[in-house]
Amino acid sequence: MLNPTKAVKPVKASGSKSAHRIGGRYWNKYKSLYLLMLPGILFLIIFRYIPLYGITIAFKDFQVKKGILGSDWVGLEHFIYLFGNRSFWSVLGNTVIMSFYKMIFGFPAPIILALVINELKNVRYKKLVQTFTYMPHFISWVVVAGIFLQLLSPGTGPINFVIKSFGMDPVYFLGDPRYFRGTMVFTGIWKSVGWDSVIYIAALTGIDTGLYEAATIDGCTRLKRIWYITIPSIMPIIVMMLIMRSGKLIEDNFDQIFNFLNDGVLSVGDVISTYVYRLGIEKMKYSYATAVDVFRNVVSFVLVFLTNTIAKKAGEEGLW
Amino acid sequence: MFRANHGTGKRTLALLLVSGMLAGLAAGCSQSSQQSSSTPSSSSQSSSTEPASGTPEPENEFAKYEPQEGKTYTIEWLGSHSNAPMPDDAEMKLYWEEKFNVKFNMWYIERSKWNELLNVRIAANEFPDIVKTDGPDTLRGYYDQDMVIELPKELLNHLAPKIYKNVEDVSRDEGIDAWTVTAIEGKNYGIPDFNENGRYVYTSIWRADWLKKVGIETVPKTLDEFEVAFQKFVNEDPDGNGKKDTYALSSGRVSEPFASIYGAFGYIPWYWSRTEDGGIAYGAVQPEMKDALALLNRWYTEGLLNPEFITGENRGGHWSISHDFIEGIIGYTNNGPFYVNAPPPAGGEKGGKMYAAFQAAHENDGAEIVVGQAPIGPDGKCGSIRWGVVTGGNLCFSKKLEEEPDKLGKILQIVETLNCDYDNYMKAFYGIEGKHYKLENGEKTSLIPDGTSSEEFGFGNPFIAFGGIFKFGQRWRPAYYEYAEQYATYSKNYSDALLVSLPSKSKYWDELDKMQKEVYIQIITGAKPVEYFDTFVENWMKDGGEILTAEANDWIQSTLS
Amino acid sequence: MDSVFHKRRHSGPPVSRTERVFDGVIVICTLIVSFSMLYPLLFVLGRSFSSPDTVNLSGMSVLPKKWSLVGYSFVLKSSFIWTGYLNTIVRTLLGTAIGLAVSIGYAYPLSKKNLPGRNVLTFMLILTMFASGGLVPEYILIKNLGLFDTIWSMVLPSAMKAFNVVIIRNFFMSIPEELDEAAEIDGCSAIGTLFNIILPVSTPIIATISLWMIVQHWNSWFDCLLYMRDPNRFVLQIVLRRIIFESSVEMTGAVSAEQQVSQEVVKYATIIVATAPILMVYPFIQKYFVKGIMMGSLKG
Repeated sequence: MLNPTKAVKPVKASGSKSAHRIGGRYWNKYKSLYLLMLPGILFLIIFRYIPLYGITIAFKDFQVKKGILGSDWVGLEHFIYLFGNRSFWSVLGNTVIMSFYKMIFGFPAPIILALVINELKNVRYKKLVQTFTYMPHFISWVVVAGIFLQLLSPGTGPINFVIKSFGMDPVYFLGDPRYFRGTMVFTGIWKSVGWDSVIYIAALTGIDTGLYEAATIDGCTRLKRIWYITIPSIMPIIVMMLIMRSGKLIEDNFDQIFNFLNDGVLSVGDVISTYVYRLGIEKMKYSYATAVDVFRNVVSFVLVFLTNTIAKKAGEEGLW
Repeated sequence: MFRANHGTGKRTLALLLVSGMLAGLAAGCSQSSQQSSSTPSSSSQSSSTEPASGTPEPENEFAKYEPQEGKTYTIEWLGSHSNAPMPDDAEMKLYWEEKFNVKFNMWYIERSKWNELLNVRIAANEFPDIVKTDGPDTLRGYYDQDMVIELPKELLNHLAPKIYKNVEDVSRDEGIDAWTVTAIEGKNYGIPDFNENGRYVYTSIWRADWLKKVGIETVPKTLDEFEVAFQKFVNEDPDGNGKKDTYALSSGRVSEPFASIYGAFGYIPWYWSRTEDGGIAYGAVQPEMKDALALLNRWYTEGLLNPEFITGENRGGHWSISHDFIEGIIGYTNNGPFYVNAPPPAGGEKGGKMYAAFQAAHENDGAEIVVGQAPIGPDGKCGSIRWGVVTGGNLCFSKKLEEEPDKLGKILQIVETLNCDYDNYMKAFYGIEGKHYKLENGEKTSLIPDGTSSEEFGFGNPFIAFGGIFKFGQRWRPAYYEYAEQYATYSKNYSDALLVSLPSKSKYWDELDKMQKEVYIQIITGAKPVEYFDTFVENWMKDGGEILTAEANDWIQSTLS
Repeated sequence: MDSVFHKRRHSGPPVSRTERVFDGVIVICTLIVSFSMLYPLLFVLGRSFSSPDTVNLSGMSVLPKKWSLVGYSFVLKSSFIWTGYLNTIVRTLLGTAIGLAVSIGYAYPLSKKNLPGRNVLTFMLILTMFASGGLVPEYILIKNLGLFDTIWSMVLPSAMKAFNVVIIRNFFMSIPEELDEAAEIDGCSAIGTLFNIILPVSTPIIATISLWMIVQHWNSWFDCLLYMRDPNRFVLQIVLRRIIFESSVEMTGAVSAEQQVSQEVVKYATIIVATAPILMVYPFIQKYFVKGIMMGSLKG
């Protein structure tokens, strides 16, 4: 399959000399392309495919002395244990619900930010906004959690001061199960929106300026230009990010949840990663942890596959 | 993680214990009546005097463990958490290598990722000759992977008699058979480790100026006195700003809320406790906790509890720091072990972390701290969290040493030398006096340059693989322990009595633990009526609690037999 | 520097009133958002300059109650901090260079729709997003390859991410094919086309991917902990983590009283020391976000 010569078809059936020349040119072209890929192919085989035998741990009773390959098979035992665990289903549910909210609100946020930044006219100000919005990405969740604990405090926090000044009751954002998910979605967006918007900002620079000029001359409003020119132009990258994102429905942000989780909101806030972390109390559960990974990866693959199929049906460029 | 303080000490144990208990009684705390010292010590005595079965001449059997003269051993060493990697040519490391005629290969496993990093290396079939574990669960994990060598007690007694005797002594004094920590299927697989700070309970602190302001002259002792003071803190404007913006208390460390209040009713909910009939029971489901929750619920309704107790009174920084207390939102807290609240010199140059933070915030405004005891409950019970001397941590050794018994002997000799002798201990932990540190009036000052770590000079945690409880600290830091004896005297029943990993724990515990945490908060905040406690106990038992209780009692019975 | 595209836009019809309102609204919105996002950094910065005993007491204020340089003096005096910086910089540069080369090398051929075996090669790549053997086999692999204590153990295993390759590939695919074909007719080789035609119009995406790689390498430490034994080869993040943990040891540890108290300040100073250099990368990357405009005009 990888042999380029097989795949090369002569362009012309007659005129062997010219066919050879053209064919030779293709051959050369492909040869250099494959050579270009060679480091990547080697990388994938060595660092991604060889270690894959580790997945078998999920189906084995892993004994260090016997090694991964020599350990005894136990079939789906670890998965049966996993699925038979009530805790697992509740944390799975919480994970999916929170990821779903994060997707609905968190996915469009960086796109909107990128569009807004794109509309700024003063170049210096524009760059400043970009830089400032991307900063929270670099502050760890421990610190961010400490800051939000103060910001959102019902008694002393400024946010609740504003709420109270409108005559409403203070809201216990972090200790009340009704608000916890929303708070996680918001803090998640707040922390990553600038960083996530970088890719869209990069894509926006690729838009043909001629289109804007034409639109302006035609008397289009700003919003219309955004809607009819800007968004369609970055649609391929939006779709791409959406496909990738769909696989993350079963993932959660451990650092974020771990630093915010408290006994009052366990029923809504406990997620797969915090659960697996607690399992760590019983150490050395290699097989079980791998089984959780395998489960997560399979679900994530199915989700991405489905989204990708839908995207391609809709005429967009998919992942594959 | 914060429990890993390694005790130091000398043999004035019994005396201190007695004085500690007297101080506790004098302070009005009832010692738990079940600390029958007869049972566990008799068991340990019996095991120590028991001759190794089937071995006619133990001397000969142990002969192969004698280190060979002149042989240089290379030891893969993983002691306590090291804070930094130890260079191969670190000064004190070379010193010990020469002294013992060995080569140490020091493992560096970063403490925050200890399990992840170590487990990967173990899975790749790498295992140090000596390793410190954090509890019976971990030891069990190594055992299941066939990584650790059996260490018969007789052998330990032969090779390291001081260590052996120490375990026996602690077992007797604490009324707990410490060997259960390292026992697996009737055999011994390591050496239990101890935490000297774990003898003492969490201390409580009050705003002395608030007490004075509301007209209370003596620090409250009983739960009723507590309630009176708490109500005044809320209703009589102790901070004098004319606003009703103060509370009495919040939750302390967020994972350990209201420990001293629960303690007044006889249990710490998240600990297993010994019962009067010699069994063991989980605190959270005891009927007394219903009364405790009813009281907390009333306090919540009356506005004595800071409603933000769910997210805790600490907002970053060291966990023992109560920002609510420092900022004058609450007037009482039971926030941590004695040393965080200790003033100088007991708490160090500036006092413990919490003490120092409070002083810095209130330099000249008249705010003052006064240390108090946990409240005495309606039945005379009283106490707060006590980590316990027997922490479950332990030291174990590689199975590979089966092929080199003389090396095991050598390692045990080294461990004993480093941990059981005052001078060696100080050298291994703090370096050479006058060069790496100096001692003045019970205050230790490090002489190594700022920004360097003790490991670079070859001393510190890594060599103190086994803390022991020899009271070495008493020699150079008497004030610290005097303070502890005075303010943090202890009731043994307030530490976790369950020291093994229960077979069905992984199956049930997570759900039960979550259920407990949720229901407790719901009852306190009134989301569920106090009567719901009975339903909770029923559910808890039904969903696996009964099985775990039975397993825990089986374990207790096995330690007694 | 200034984008052509804005200047051109300004040269359009006179700015209407609604346009001005629109501009005003977005400026105000971005001001609020920017401030809220600048805040945590100022918060950490303020505390890093605080005196050790007052660091916990400032509440929401970003200004320290008492100023002090104790935190920085402690962090910057630490052993291995400068070798840590050097190792991190080397790792970041080498890792990003290799990562870019391998990723672009894999992405470019995949952007050719008529490349034989394209589907297999794509699938081979995508699959790695969902299948991972875990840490243990990777550790054994690095051990068997003899990469312990070499920089390659940190640079190679993370060299190529499927996600990055797909992003690059899709960007290449959006470049009009006429460009390629024109180059070929001019006698350019495939590699020549990549360097002379494709890469110059792809600067925004290359800049973005570089940024991702740089930040990823800068913040990585777990692989270093796993594969490095020699403290002289430790990256900055490990050195700094050590400082934080060391200063958080309980009283009974071998740490002096001053260190005990300064722990919080040291923590914040450490965050700044670790973060400041990487924050400065972005403005540098930003300038490549306008040059990509080339492509649009070529397309037309």
